[in-house]
Amino acid sequence: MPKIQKLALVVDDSKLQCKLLSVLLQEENYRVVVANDGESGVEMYIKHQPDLVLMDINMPVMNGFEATRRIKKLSGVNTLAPLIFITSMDSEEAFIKSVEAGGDSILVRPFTPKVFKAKIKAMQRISDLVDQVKNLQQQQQNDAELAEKMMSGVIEARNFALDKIGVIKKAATIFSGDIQLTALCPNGDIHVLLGDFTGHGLRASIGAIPVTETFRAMTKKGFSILEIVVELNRQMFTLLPGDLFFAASFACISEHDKSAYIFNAGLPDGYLFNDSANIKKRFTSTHPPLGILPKLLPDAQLDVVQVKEKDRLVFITDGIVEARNQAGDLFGFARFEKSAKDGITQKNLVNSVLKSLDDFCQNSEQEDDISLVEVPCSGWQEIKLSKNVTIPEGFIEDDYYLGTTTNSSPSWSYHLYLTGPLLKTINPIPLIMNQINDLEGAGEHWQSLYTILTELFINGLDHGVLKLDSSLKDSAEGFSQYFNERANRLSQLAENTLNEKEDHIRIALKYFPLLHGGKMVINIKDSGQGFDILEVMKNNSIARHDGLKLSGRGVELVNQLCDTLEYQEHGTLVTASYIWKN
Amino acid sequence: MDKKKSENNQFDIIKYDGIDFDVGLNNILGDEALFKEILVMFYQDHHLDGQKLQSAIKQQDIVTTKHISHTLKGVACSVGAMDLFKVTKALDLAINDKQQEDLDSLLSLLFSELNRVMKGIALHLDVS
Repeated sequence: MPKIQKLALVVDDSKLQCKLLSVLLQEENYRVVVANDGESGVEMYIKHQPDLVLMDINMPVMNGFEATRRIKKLSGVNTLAPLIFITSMDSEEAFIKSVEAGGDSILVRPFTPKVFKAKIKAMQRISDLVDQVKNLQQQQQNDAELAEKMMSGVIEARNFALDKIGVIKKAATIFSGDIQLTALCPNGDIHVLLGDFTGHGLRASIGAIPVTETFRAMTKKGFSILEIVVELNRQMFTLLPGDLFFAASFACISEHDKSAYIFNAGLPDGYLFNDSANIKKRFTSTHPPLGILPKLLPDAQLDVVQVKEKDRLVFITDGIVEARNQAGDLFGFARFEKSAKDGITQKNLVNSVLKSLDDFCQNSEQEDDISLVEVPCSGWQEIKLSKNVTIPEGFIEDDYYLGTTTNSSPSWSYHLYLTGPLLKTINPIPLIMNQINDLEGAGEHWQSLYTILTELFINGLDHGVLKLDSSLKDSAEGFSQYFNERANRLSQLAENTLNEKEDHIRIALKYFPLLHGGKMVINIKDSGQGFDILEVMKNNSIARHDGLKLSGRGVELVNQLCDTLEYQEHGTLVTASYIWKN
Repeated sequence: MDKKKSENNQFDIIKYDGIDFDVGLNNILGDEALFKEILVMFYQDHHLDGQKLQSAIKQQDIVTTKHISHTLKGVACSVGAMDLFKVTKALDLAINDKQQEDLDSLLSLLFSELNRVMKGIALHLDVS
C-alpha cells in the first residue's frame, strides 16, 4: 500500500528559508504549503489542516508565538499537528516562550539536514502515537456506546409498562450509574426501583445488572418489596467494592389495595402528588444506602400510604437537585418541586422538570447522572375476574382426575407449618409458588393462585395470629396505624420464642389434574380466635357497594377467583378451591 | 558525495568568497542548481541589509534592527556564509544586550563580511 503523502505548512517571512525547508520536507515525502507571516500562517492552517507546521518566530504582521497560540487553539485537544519552531534565536527565553505558546519542539539554526530529518521523524512518531491513542479512544467510545445500548436493552427496555411511566435519564457520561426498574408482581401490584450507584460512568453502572436480575426474578416469584430490599442489600454488600454503594428508593403500588409501600435508602425525598399538584407526602430516606451494612437495620420498615386513582409517585436522584448553573448555584428542592407541580398541572411532569433544569443549567457541564421516575398509582394490569365463578367450559364431573371421580387422591400435596418467629421472617408464598412452578411448570393461571394464597395467608396472619382489626384501615390515619401496629406485633412474635408454637399457620395444598386443566384445593388454618365470616362478608358487601371501605377487599377478590371458598372452625380454617383450564 | 561532485565543490569554494560551499550545498541536499538559485535569492533579499541596519540603528528603531539582524543571521547559516553568521550572531547579542560600543564595531565588521559574500555571489551569478 503506498504511503499517504502528508502535508506540511512552513511559516517564515524569508522566502529563502521557505525554499530551503520545503526541499528538506519534500525529501521526507511531504507536500508543502508556505506562508510569509503569522496571520497568513493561521489562515493557511485553517484552509489546509496540515500534518506538520514549521514556524519562524520573528515575522511581520503577526509573530510566530501568537500564530502558534491561535493554531493550537484551533487544533483542539484531540488532534496533534506537531508544530516546530525553526529559529536562529538560541536564547533560553525563546525556548521557554515557544513552549508556552504551544510549540511541540524547537530547532535552532545552524542545523544539518540530518538533524532536521531526525527532528521531523521524532515529531511524527509522537503525532502517530497521538493518532493511535485517538483511534483507540474512538474505538473505546464506540465499544462503550454499544455496551451501553446492550445494557440498556437488558435493563430498562424490559421494564414493565414503559408507556405509563414518566422517565428522565440523563447520564453524565456514556454509562449511567442510575437505574430505573419496574416489574409486575404476580398479584397485579407493581414494583418500582430508582437507584443511584456512587459516582457515575462505567464503574458506577456495573452493579446494575445483578440488581436488575434480582429485582425482576424476586418480583416475579412474588417476594415482597422489603424482602427484595433485604436481598439487594446483601448482594450489594457482597459484590460492590468498599467505596461503592447503592442509594435507592423502592415502591410497591397496589392498585386493588389502594396503597403504596415505600422504602427510601439514601436518595433525596420521594413524593406522592395528587391530581391537583399538591404534595400529599414526602418519603424521606430512613436507611443508609444499600451495600454499606451487611444487613438492613433492625428497625428498617416501609412507609405505607393510601393512594388514590389519580395520585402519582415521583422518585428522583441527587443529580437533579444538585445540578448546578454557571454561577455554581444548585437547582435544589424548591425549583424541583415547583417544576414538578407545574408539570402535573400541564399534564407533563417530565417535560416540565427537564425544561426547568435546562433553563437553569444552560450549558453548564453535567456533573452527575440525572434521573427521575414518575409512576401513576392506577391504570396497571387488572386481574381478570368473573362475577360468578363457573366451572370452565368442557369440564364435567366425570372428567375429574383423568376420568376418575372427585374423591380420588390428589397427584401431590404440599404442607407447610409455620410457627412463632418464622411467621415474621418467612414469606411462604414465593416458596409455595416456586414448588408449584417446579412441579407443574409455569402458567398464567398461577397469577390468580398467587393472589388467592397471598390474601388468605395475610388474612390468617394479620387477623388471626396478630389479631389486627381490619376496620383500622378505613381511614388514612388508621391505615398507617394499622401497618405500624402490624410491625410491632410481628416483632413481638419474633421475640416470643418460649411459646412460639402457640402462634402458627398451617398451609396445605392439594393438586388434582383434570383432562383440560387442574384444580388446587387450599387449606389455611391459623391459631387465632376466628371471626364471624357472615357478618364480615355482609359488611364488606354493603361498604363496597357504597364505596366506603378499603378493608376486606382481599376476601372479596378471593371469593371471585375461586369456585368455592369456605370458612370453618369459627373462621380459623379456610378452604378454597381454584379450578383452571389450560 | 561522489568524486565528480567533490571536484566541482573544490572549484566552487574558490568562486564564492565567504561561503562554506560544503555546508551550503549540504543544506540543500547537494542540488547545485538549486543552491545557485538560493544564492541569488540571498543576494537579492539581503545585499542592502548593512545599510538598512545602519539606518535602523541610527533611528534607534530597535524592532527593525532586531528583525534585520535576526533574519540575516538565519539565512547566513542556511547558505553556508558561516563568518557572516558569526558576526550577525554577535551583533544580535549586542542589540539584545544594548551594548552600543560593541554595536558600532560589529556593524563595521558586518559591512565588510556582507560585502565580501555579496561580491562573491555577484561575481559568478546573474543577480540582476
